[in-house]
Amino acid sequence: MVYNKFYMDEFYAATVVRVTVDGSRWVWHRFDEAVIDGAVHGTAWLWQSAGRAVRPLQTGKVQNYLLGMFLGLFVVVTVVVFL
Amino acid sequence: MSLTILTFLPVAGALVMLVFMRKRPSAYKTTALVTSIFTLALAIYLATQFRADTADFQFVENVSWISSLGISYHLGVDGISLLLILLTTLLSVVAILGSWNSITDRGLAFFISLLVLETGMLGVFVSLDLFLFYMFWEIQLIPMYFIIGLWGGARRVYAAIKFFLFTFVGSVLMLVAILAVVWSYSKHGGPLTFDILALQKAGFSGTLAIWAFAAFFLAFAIKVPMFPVHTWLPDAHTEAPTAGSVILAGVLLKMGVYGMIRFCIGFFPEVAVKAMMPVLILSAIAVVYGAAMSLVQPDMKRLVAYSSVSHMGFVTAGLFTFNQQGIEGSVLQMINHGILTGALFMMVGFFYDRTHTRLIKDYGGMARPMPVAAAFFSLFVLGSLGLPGLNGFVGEFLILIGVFQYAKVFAVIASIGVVLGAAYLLWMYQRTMFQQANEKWLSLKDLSAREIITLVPLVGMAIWIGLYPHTFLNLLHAPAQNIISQVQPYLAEHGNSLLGLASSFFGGF
Repeated sequence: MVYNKFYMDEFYAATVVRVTVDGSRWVWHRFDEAVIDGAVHGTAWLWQSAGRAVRPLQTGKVQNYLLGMFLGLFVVVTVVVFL
Repeated sequence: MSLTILTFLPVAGALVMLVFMRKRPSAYKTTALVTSIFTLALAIYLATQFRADTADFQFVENVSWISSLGISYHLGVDGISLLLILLTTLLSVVAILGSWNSITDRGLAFFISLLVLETGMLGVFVSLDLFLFYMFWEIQLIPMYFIIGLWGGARRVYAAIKFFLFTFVGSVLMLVAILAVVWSYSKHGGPLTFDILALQKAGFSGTLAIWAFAAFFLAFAIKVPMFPVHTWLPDAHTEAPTAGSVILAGVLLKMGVYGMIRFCIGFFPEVAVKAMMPVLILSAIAVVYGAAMSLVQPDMKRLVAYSSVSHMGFVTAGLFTFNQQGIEGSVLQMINHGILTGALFMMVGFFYDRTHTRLIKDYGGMARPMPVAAAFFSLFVLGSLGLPGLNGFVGEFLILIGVFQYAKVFAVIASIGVVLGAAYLLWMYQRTMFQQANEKWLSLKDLSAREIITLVPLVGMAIWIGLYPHTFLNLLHAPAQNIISQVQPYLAEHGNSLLGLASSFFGGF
C-alpha cells in the first residue's frame, strides 16, 4: 500500500486525467469536427447544391434561352404596364 | 525611402531569381537566402535608428498616389509594427534556410512565393493607407495559397481552398467596412481620404461604427483565428510545407491582431470598449478549448496548430483589457508565439524530413538517435509552455496581470489553459523523444549544421526575451499608452454602465 503511494497516481490517472483527455477527445470529434467544421462544410454543400439545382437551365439550346427572354420580357412589361 | 526598400527588397530578389537563375537551384536558393538576410539586416538597422520614446509613426513616406480618390502611398512604423517587421524578416530567413533541401519539386516557384509573401506581410505592417493596406492584405493570400496547395501534404488542395475562402470571406467584409468608413468620413465634412491616421482622428459613432467594427473584427478574428472561426487553421497548418507552417503561424496570424489594434480599436474605440466583455469571453474559450483540442491530437503538427488557437486567445485577451500590462504583454506574446511556434513547426518539419510521418504514435525514443534535436525541441517546448527564463513566460505573465486587473475570473480560466499547455506539450515530448524507441529510427542522423544554424537565432531570441524583455517592451510603452489614451474616455464612461456592473461582478470573487 505505502509502496504504491496509496495508489494516488492511479487515482489521478483514472479521474482527472481520464476525464480531461476523454472529454477533450469527445469535444474534438463531436463538436469541433461535427458542429463547427460541419457548419463550414454545410455552407459549401449549400452552394454546391444550389449550383446543381440551377444547372439544367443551361441547356445550350438558343431556343430555350429565347423562350426565357420572352417570358422575362412579358413579366416585366406586365408589371410596368399594369402595376 | 527606407521602408519602401525594406518592403520591396524581397520581391526584387525574386525578380532576379526569375530572370537570371531559372535552371540553377543552388544559385536561386542562395539569392533567396541572401535577399532575406539583407531584408533582416535592414530591419535591424531601422530598429537601431528608431526612437522608442514616442508613439508617432517614424520613417514616414507619404506620396499622393490616386489623388482623385484620396489614396496615397503612405508608409510608417510605430513600436508595434517595428517588432512585427523584425519578426517577419527573421522568420523569413528561418523559413528559407529551413526548407533548403526539403523542397525538390518546382523549387524556383517555391522560393519566389516565399519572397513575394514576405513583401506582402511587410506591406501590411508598414501601410498607413487603407487602400494600400487592403492591397497588401490580399497580395499575401496568393503566395500562401500556392505554398499550401502545391507543396503541401496529402489533403493540401482541401486545406488551401479552405484557408483561402475563410480569409477571403473576412477580407471582403472588411473591404465593405473600409468603403463605409471612408464614405462616412467624407460625408460628414472630412475630405475623401483613405489615410489611416486621418481616419483614426475622426471618431466614428452610432450604427455605422458598430457594423463597421463588426466587419473589421470578423475579418481579423478569422485571421487570428478566434473561436469559433478557427477550423481553417489546423487544416492549413498541418497540410502546409514546413516553411508555410512557420510563416502562417509565425506571422500571418499576427496580422489579425495587428488589424484589431489599428482599425477595430483605432477607428472605433467606443465600440471596442463595449466589445471588451464578449472578446474576453471568446478569448478565454479559445485558450481552454485550443489547449483541450491540442491534448488529444494524434498528429504532431495538428497539436502545434491547435496550441496556436490557445496562445492567440491569450493575445486577444491581453489586448482587450486596455491596460498597460495587458497590451504590452499581448504584443510581446505575438512575437514570442511567432518565435516558439515557428521553431516547433521547424522541428516537426526536421523530424518529418527523416521519417515521413507526423503521427505521435509512430515516434518514440527519438532522443537516442537525435540528442541534439531533442535538446532544441525541449527548449522550444519549455518556452511554449511558459517556463520562467524563456520568452513565453514573460508574455503570458504580463497578459495574466492585465487580465487579472480587469476581471479575476478570466485570469483563472486562462491559467487552466496554461496548465493544459504544459500537459499537452510535455506529453507530446514524452511520447516522441522518450519511451519505447522505434527500431526504424535508431539509425537516423542528428540535425545537420544547416538545421542547427536555422534554429540558433530562434533559441537566441527565446532566451533574450526571456531574460531581458526590456529591449522589446521599451518599444511598446509609447504605442500602448497611445491605445489606452484612445479608449480612456469611453472606459470612464462605461464605468457605471452594465459593463461595469458585469466586470465588478466577475471581478468580485
